[in-house]
Amino acid sequence: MTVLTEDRIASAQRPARRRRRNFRRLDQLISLAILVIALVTWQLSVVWFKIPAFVFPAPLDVAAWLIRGFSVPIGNNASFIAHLGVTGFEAATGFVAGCVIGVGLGFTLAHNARAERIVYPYIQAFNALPKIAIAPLMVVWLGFGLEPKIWMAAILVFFPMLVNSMAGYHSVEPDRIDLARACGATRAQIFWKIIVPSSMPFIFAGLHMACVLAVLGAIVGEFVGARAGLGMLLLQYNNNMQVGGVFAVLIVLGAIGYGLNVIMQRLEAKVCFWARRQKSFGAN
Amino acid sequence: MSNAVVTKLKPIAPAPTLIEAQDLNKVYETATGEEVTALANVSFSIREGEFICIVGRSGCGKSTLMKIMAGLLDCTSGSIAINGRPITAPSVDVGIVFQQPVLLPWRTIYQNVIFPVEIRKADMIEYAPRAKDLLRMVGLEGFEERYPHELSGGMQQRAAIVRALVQNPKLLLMDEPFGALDAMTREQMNLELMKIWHSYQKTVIFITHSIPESVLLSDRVIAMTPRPGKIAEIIEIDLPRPRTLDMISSDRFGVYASHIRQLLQASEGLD
Repeated sequence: MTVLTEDRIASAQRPARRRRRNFRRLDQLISLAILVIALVTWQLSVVWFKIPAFVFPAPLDVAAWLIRGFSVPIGNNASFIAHLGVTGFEAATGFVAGCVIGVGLGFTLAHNARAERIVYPYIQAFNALPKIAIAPLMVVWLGFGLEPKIWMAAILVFFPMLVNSMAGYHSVEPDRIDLARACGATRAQIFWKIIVPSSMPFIFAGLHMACVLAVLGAIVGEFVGARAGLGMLLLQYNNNMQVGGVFAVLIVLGAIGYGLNVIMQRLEAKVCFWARRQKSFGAN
Repeated sequence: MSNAVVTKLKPIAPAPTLIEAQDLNKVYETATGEEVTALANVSFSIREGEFICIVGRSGCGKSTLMKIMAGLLDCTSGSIAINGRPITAPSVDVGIVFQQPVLLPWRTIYQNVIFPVEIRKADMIEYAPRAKDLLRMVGLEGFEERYPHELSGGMQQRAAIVRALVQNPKLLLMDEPFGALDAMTREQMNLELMKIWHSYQKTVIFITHSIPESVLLSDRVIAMTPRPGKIAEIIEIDLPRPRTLDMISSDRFGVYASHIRQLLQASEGLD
């Protein structure tokens, strides 16, 4: 009986699914068409209304900036690749540092209820602070090198990782821990075989935010004072009224953010294939 | 495995005692500092190979008792021993099945079933054939590489039973294992459980709040009443084995069931 009905439902669903897939492809096409139309309109209006390039550059102008940025030799100050390398290094190092410290402290606090009660109010208070505002202080303390950018990125990454790893730890079903204990598991086994994998969906919710925040932290750090990096370059173009260059850098930054998100999604699908997307607990 | 023994023969000499509890007490302290007596003077003695059901309404301390027997919880006073040794920590001799399957979703069914072996750092290869045998026994052959979310609730609970049995424990503790299943699946699981019990010669302690389920399964029913959790009576169920679902409508079954119901209802009248 049930098998029959399920079969019927399945066969009824098959053409529907195909139709849905066709619709999705159509939607993607429409999406792309909107972009093309917007770009063409933008190009034409800039030309017709004679908008100066230092106010609003035409898309072809921006494209020229992009091509130039990626084609000049790496030694050149206009090379996007060189600046990308610097910003990438700052963001990546800060990301790793923020993740390690955030998750490490998150699990430690979640494990010690007393420590959590004592420390958590301070963490919340510090988290309420607009952390970008401490960037100038970083320059005072750490100078104009890479360190202040790395620490800006690390601080921004730290909070979502801390909050999410704590939430992950607390979300572990007590039954799972009882199961492991009934099997004679040691504390270390409970941690590595139950708590860490159970927390993974929460950790990933944090990582999604963290990878974007790491780039943000590096850029903000560069805004305050830097010799290299995409943030510095952006500021330089802005000051020189080279708005085409500003747009080009913004596009590069957007692409980085998008790329990181795709990587995280792939990684999550691989590691947390068993979990439906769970609630994320964010810190801005 | 078993030599096709259809009815369970009454042992000539009584089987040796497997688990013995004497004057068990468990007192919890709540967050507000109040003391709650979960178990009061609980004493019983269970022989090897017995199928025991502990029945009672929620709050009668049956889950507390279960955790003490599993070595997950200490008692406040009294003594409890398995094979003459006091229970102080979880033991290989005890397998446990929870109300939920509690399968780890990132592990395949086989990896879940072998989990206790892995935790105890025992030889995984040595236990592999046993795990495979048990999976076949409960009809999960071919599902070894599947993940829990791909299985129905009943199948997941079967895998949980296999996990509890994989290290060949003497005692199988089951805490309302079929409570989350639909009525049809539940009846079928009861029959399968009796089959497993019979062929593997286990001692089973099965917690339930279903009176018919307790009568159907047990050699003896321990009826518990709440606040404080104590044993109202231990009832010997003298129905022939193997038990069938038809027995539920028999007169003797009804007599047992209504007797237990009265015991449990009497406790309600008191508070």
